[in-house]
Amino acid sequence: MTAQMKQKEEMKNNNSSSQHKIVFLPESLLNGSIEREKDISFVTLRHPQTGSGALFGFGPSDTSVYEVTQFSEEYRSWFIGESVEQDGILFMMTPFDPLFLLLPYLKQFHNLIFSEVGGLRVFRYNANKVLMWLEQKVENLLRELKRQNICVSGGSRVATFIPSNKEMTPSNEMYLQYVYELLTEYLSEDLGLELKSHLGLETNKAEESSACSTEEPPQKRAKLNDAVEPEEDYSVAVTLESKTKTKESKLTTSQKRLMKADKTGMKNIQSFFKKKIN
Amino acid sequence: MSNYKGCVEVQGWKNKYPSNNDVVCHSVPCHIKCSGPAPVSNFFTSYIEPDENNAGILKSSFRGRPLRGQEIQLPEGYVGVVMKSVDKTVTDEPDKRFRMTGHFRKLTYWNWDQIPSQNDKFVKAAQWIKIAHAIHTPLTLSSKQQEHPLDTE
Repeated sequence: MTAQMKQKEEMKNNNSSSQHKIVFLPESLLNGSIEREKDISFVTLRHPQTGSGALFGFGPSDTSVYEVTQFSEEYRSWFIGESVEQDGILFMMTPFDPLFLLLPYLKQFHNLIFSEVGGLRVFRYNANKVLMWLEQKVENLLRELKRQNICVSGGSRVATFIPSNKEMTPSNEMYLQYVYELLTEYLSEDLGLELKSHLGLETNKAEESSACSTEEPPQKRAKLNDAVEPEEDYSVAVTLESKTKTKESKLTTSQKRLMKADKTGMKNIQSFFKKKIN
Repeated sequence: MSNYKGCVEVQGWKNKYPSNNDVVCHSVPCHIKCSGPAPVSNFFTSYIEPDENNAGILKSSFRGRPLRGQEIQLPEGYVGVVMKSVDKTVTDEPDKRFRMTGHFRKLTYWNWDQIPSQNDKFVKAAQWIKIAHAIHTPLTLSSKQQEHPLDTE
């Protein structure tokens, strides 16, 4: 049996084990494709945080980038119409700001030249502007989290997706910390640290670590190397959830100091904007 | 890290699968060790009934075990699609092709004997979509000229 034949055989077997994938995606991604007759394509790109490969999608009709994430559980399968799919993974394609992908490169080379249609534009990495750009993201996220009333007591995305109960009113500091953690998933380590100090989150390091989920190293983003591998294990939420109570009591002891830190952090943001607008 | 390349053929999906032809999808809390055609409506769907004790909750059973389920609507503007991998001539290239074979705007999510709640993955998935939009919506330059991280010369 030649190697190729073997591979063919293997492929056949694989087909019987996994056939369908379920994907949530923006409808707009599909609508543009009718006239253009193009496909959605997937490629592995260097993830801005981890530096290793992650799966991204490109729409058929525009230049938008989409991040491909997956929600999986060990014991989950699909019934799709009149068939069974053993792989219970849910894939999602969500918009991705391409600047997150560019920043590590720009930072590395400081000066980078992009040729564009009809001319040449030079982009220069500007640390201040990067932080201001991130501040806008922080503000947008704070607004969205508060609107959705998502509990932000945990240290990682996993824990914090537990919607808040009425007894727990998260402080602004907790929101800020959570937003920071969400954003660091898209930032290189050093840029993440810059943002942290910029937001005034670097003080109270000791309290922070005790207050915000020491059980899990926060925001270890899954690398989506291969669409078949389940890598984000959201079932962890169950164990984290059971520990919420003990965490809570810890939080209240450091609440005062956290609030203090928060104020300075917010002040930073505002003064930053004031100075720069002229 | 293996390089992954792939694409989904989406051409004409709307004509092929009009909205009245939604695929019925159930997410079930067990690992079934095979994939392929199965008489789902006979052995599963036809046993679904409303849970009289809990409004909006469905109940059914699978292999003799009780299941509690809930219909979940996809977030506005989103559609669920079923992608089927397309056989291609075998090459060493890890290039995968998928074809859309159906779509849906709601699915049913099942737990063992436990009422689906806000803590369930699919609810979180919907939240993630909103958070992702808050993180990734590109910032416009109109309000504040300074917020773009790149200097243009």
